[in-house]
Amino acid sequence: MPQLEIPDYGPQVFWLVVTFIVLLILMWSLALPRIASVLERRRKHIEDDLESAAKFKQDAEEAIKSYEASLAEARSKAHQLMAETQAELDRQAAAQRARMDAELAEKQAEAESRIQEARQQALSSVRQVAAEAARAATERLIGVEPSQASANAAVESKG
Amino acid sequence: MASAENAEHHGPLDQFTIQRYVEIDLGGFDASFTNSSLLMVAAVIVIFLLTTLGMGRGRMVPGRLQSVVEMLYEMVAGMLGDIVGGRAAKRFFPFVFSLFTFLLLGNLLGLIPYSFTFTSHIIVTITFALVVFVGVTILAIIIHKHKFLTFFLPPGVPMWMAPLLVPIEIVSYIARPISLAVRLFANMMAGHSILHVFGGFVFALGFFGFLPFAFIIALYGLEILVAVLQAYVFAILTCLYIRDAIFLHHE
Repeated sequence: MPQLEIPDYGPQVFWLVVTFIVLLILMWSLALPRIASVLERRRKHIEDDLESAAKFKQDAEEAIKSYEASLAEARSKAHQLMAETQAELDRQAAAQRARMDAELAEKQAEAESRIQEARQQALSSVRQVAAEAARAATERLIGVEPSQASANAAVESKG
Repeated sequence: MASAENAEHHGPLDQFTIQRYVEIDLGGFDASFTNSSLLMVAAVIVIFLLTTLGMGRGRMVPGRLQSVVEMLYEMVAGMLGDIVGGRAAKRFFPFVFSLFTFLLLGNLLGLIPYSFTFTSHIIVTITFALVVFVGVTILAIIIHKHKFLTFFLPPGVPMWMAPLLVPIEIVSYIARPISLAVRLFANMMAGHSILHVFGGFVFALGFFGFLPFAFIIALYGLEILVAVLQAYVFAILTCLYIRDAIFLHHE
């Protein structure tokens, strides 16, 4: 069994100690600090990125908040404006309606008075015509022409 | 055993033979460069290239190789952070990372055909285990001074239990490096031996050789898993021992 060859132990232990010490020194002084710094840099980079991402997120949230606030303000302003306009229009419409109502009432009254007048006139002329007709008929029937007044009276009494 | 019976290595254990490539003698101490040394150097080079060139310019979004390196790094860091935690985890990180990657590469490079698995030698694994064991014991004594002895007799245990409990605790403490070393070495050796034995069957069975061949393919997948798992187990037990040294397993 080659593992039990005592004379072979010397070279193995010697080279084991030499190579392992060389490896230890290389790792200690060169390789491991470099790997550690790379890992540390990456960790820091990721941390920074996460931090700035959180900051950006916060900024975005603030922007959204202010946007919503201004939106709400604009909406309420628009509502107010709309209400004001509505009120103004209502007021104008009411005024116009009142004016037109008055005008119409006036015109109606005028027209009514005119109709009354015309009717009066028509009525009086009808009487006159009736009286004339009565006088003419009487003259034709009895040959006597009644006086204007008696004819009028006769028309009145029948009317 | 039956090694070096003939020039052609055919026994399942011959693959573990140490071959000296360059004879080096340091004042009577044999420090020859062997196949084991070659794989150790290769492991160090692969780990170094992976953790330096593999990281590239250290991009924000890692590529494939960089992801692998970062995964290794974060795995070991997570392991130490979970088990040991705090500043101690940072202090022992280079050691545990080097230990884990060295054993991992030793196990994985050994699975390449015709290469050599230095972790299949008990002397290598016991050296690592003893470094961990001695280091952890010294650490515990430095931190807790004489209170370290309460490790073998936790407070709250009745005194009459001490003669029974203390020897058990001492034996279990001393068994740590042995189990640590034998677990890794035995797993590696067994896996490679079985692969070798079934590799022999492929030719011995002729036409029906495809049966052991299919088995070898499945076993090879299992061996990759074992290679990763054993390196992981070694590293995680090291973390546990460090934790025990710092907290004396009752806090």
